[in-house]
Amino acid sequence: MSTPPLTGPAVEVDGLCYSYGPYQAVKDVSLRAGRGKVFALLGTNGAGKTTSLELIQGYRRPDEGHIRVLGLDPFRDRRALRRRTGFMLQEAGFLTEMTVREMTRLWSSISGRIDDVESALERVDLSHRAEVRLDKLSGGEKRRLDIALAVWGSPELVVLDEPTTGLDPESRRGLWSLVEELRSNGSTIILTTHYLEEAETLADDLAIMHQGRVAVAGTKREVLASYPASITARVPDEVVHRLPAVSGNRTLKRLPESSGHLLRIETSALQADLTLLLNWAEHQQVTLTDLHAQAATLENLFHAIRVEDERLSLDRRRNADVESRVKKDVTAP
Amino acid sequence: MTRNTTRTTTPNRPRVDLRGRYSLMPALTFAELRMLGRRKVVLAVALFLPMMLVGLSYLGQRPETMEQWGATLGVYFMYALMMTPYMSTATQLSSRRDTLVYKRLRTTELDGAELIAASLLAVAALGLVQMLLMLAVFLVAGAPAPDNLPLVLLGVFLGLLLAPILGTFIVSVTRNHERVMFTMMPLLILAVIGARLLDYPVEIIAWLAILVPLVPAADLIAKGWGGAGAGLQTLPVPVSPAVADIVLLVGWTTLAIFVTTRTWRWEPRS
Repeated sequence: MSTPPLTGPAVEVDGLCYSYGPYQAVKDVSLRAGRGKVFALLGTNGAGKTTSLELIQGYRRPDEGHIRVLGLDPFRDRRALRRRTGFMLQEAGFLTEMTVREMTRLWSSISGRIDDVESALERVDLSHRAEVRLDKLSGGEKRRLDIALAVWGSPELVVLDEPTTGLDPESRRGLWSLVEELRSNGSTIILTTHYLEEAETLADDLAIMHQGRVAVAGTKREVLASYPASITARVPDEVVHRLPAVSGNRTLKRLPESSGHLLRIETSALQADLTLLLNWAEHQQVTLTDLHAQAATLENLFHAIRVEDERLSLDRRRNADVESRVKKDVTAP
Repeated sequence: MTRNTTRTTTPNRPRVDLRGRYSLMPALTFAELRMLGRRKVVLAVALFLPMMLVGLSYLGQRPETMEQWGATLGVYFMYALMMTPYMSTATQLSSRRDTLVYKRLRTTELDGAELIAASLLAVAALGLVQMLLMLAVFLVAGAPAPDNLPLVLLGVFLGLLLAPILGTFIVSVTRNHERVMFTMMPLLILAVIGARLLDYPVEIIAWLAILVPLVPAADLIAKGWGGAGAGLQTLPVPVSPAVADIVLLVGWTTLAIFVTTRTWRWEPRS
């Protein structure tokens, strides 16, 4: 095992592919998670997030591609990495015959990282449940214990697979604070979540996966910039033909049952186009009712990726149908 | 998880445990033993089985000669091996796998072999306690002292080694916990029947019986306790039956480990 470099990304993934039998779950995935940052891996159910994380954890050997975690090969150097990484899995069981305190004590013996049982339980507000058997804990309490074990000893890399699923709002906020604290102490956090506002709040960098591929990746700003902002307003009929030329994509829709048109501008230059529109309205002495300007959100982007993918797969199906019909015509006597 | 509790508790830099890997497995083995102690059914079977078997031996024809005692004790020790180390291992491992406990434990520094070994050691330890208890109960009940104690201990040791490994093998080829109750039955039945057929008058039947995994352990214990006249007497090869028992037990153990390492899955098959 070579000495791991202390610089460079915490996680580096290149051209990763993995299949479960004939089903290809991860297709040519490349990612970088910088040290001391929060990296959010987003995607729909079945997008390949958990498989990618399991490959990063060294649970599975990739069919193709390379992974370096803290400078090491996670499959080959699994043991060395366990001391430096904490994992919160989407689904994992507890030794239910044990109490909360016994489980954390066991963790203290086998995790390879040092922490204090009492402060670890206090961190997730489980001190008062320390003597309770694990099968008597609620779902949310089990999730909190999950978190305590994942961040045990503040490892260099913490992987959290849907950590806030099943948590009440206050516990979610608590986890967010914990993630921010870990980051400020220099840990790298990889996070998957279905809550997009969570990713927007916590992540420095992110990637959105869809159907086994990375659809978009980069810093939060870069990713959001890849999707246009929008401006909508109601424009009176008499000035519709005098609307200014904006840099974004402009659509106009006549509003039924009322006067006026609905103007929609999708733009990557939100401030410039909004200023242009407002100046024009002032000059024309027009009131733009229902004016609404919104920067791109992860939700917009997420939705757009799904819609685009569905359109592409529909096209592929149509093309396949056409091809098979052509073949039939050619082979027909 | 409240804001005031999350603020101050994470240390500034990662602290790595320098105690070394050799402390990891014992920690899990002791935890497993503690949990075994909390399972009332497993404990009841482990502790009351010896008494039950002594009672059975009195209900039937009571052994009189050394050979008869040897044969009876060999069979009963093998029943115990099947009931505790074999069946407990199979049910415990399959349950752990189904509830994804191993998935969590694999995020620790322990590697896969150590995880399984920790569970097996705990079950084998319970099996050993059961064996010692049986030994004491049978001696109190009037069984003669063993003719060759080292051979008895060797039979017990090899049996305690093979039985949990066979339980692990059964889990490795079983889809989920629900099915393990069925998949462990054929071997259980074959071993119970096989141990009874060691002194069967038709030689070929006895020769086939000795090939059943764990039956050689019963034969070794029988010979160790009742002398060379107990258990299987002849073989179609020029090897003494005791040596054949040892070879067969080591062979089955090696084969079971070999197959298990290739078929084992950490998560239940859907």
